[in-house]
Amino acid sequence: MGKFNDIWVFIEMSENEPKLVSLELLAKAKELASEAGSHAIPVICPDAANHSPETIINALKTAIEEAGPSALLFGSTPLGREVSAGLSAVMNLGIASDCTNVMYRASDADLLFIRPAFDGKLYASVSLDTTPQIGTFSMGIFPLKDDAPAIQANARTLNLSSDDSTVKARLVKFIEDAGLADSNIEEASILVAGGRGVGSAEGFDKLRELARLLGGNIAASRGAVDEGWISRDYQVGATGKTVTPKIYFACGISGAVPHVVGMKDSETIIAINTDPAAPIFDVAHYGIVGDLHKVISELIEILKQTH
Amino acid sequence: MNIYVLMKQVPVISDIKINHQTFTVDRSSVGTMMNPVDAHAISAAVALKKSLGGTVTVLSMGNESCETQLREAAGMGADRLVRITDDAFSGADTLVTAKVLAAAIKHLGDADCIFCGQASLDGSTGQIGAKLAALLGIGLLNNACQIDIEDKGLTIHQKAGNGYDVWQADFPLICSVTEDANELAPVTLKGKMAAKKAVISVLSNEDLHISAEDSHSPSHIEALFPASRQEVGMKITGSTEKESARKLADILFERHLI
Repeated sequence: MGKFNDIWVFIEMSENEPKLVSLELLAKAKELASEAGSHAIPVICPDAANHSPETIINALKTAIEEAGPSALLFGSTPLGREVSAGLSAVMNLGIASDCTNVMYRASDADLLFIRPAFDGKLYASVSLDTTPQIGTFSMGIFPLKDDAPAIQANARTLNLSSDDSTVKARLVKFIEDAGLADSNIEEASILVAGGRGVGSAEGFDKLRELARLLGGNIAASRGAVDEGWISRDYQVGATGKTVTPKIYFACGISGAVPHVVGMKDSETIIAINTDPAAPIFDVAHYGIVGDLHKVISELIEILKQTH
Repeated sequence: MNIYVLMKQVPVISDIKINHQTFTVDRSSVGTMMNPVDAHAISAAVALKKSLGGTVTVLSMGNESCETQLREAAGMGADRLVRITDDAFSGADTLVTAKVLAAAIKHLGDADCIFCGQASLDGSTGQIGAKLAALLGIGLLNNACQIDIEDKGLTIHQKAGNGYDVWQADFPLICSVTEDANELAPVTLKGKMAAKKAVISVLSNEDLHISAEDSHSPSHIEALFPASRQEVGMKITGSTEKESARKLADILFERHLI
């Protein structure tokens, strides 16, 4: 049995601040390291937006060959995905992507990763027989319980080459878009989500009104998106976005597994459905069996009175 | 232009039956289809060929049954269809898959542009684009929701929070596409004829020479288990929806949730 060395966490900096997912993973890595008797090391990627993934991959490869960590955790951000996938290819390493959990196995002195399989119908435990083991995780999988961990202690900062002559893909610019800003549902603290039960595009107007009164946003199941009632940018689930708001209203959503994997970690889930046997009630904290249109209309009235 | 598309056959997920006692998966009656976003990758490749000329080659790893989807690709305008198969590649994870695809492209003739779907419906790891870019040493344009063709390369839009990141790369490059990248045109009669007549060539490890070491998958599924269920929540029962809504609002106010 080998010894389990350091766990590295890729710390993605955005405007000089670490991304929340990086901090969540660092806190998780500290837990794992204390079980394994090793250390969690923040690996800071400074000014990530101005370096190409190739430059970052090369710097990580050099650092890994020098220090020999046992594991490396990434946030499932666009950059985290590109860098982890590329690193896996150039260093011939296995990777477990978009995991929902990870644990330390003392018997094998390694990490065991959990990720959804078959579109979220089942979960798989995945082992990796190459070192460092690489796992990627979305924001909100390990919500911070305490204050964010300090990223300076034990930190290692990547030495990113400023020679850009080898860079093959360049970020030209960022274009703000009001439509995309509106559908940035991952950032919302309250989501009012609708499914096929909403019945029409107009049906979403009521959901939108409730969301506005609560200072939240709307979301949808694949069913409602496929009906053409709402843009795909609002879709929650295995083939859409993963969200972890404080309150998730599931209105007229049956709760099939591919939807549930995208919202089950919300703090409070409220389900409204006419079918008392709908599986959404299995994951809901509060459930109302009834017509969502009547329930939503009444909630809107109540909120209007209290505002 | 030597244009490639990576296409994958996936199971129809809703057909998959799971035995909840044994956590085994019954795939016997499961239908197959083209990974939906891959159709947009083929469409992007055909559009590039129309602008800059060249040939579109569609690659797929799998057994004979994936020839059905390769024929669909021919119907959409692909010129050349290649199926890659070998017992040595069975159960390949994303790393081995990427190595096999890279070897196949080198064998068939270096790529100017490779298109693939953003992720597959069954594995949804979205890794292949970035891995091939690293293995072939070419530029990566990931998750394109808009593609603009230039003489020297491509410029794409990628959704990023409140807007779009715009990326550019010169050929050779690999571009992964999303369902927003283009509208799929209905298959024409000419396309249907082409699909019927299409010739599919087959590559095996006799052509690709991937070593036993390189065809070893480092990731292994140790066990499958069901999603854990939350403790049963509280049903709010009023005599009317109005009353239920009031009870719910009371709880949310009391607990300072709203």
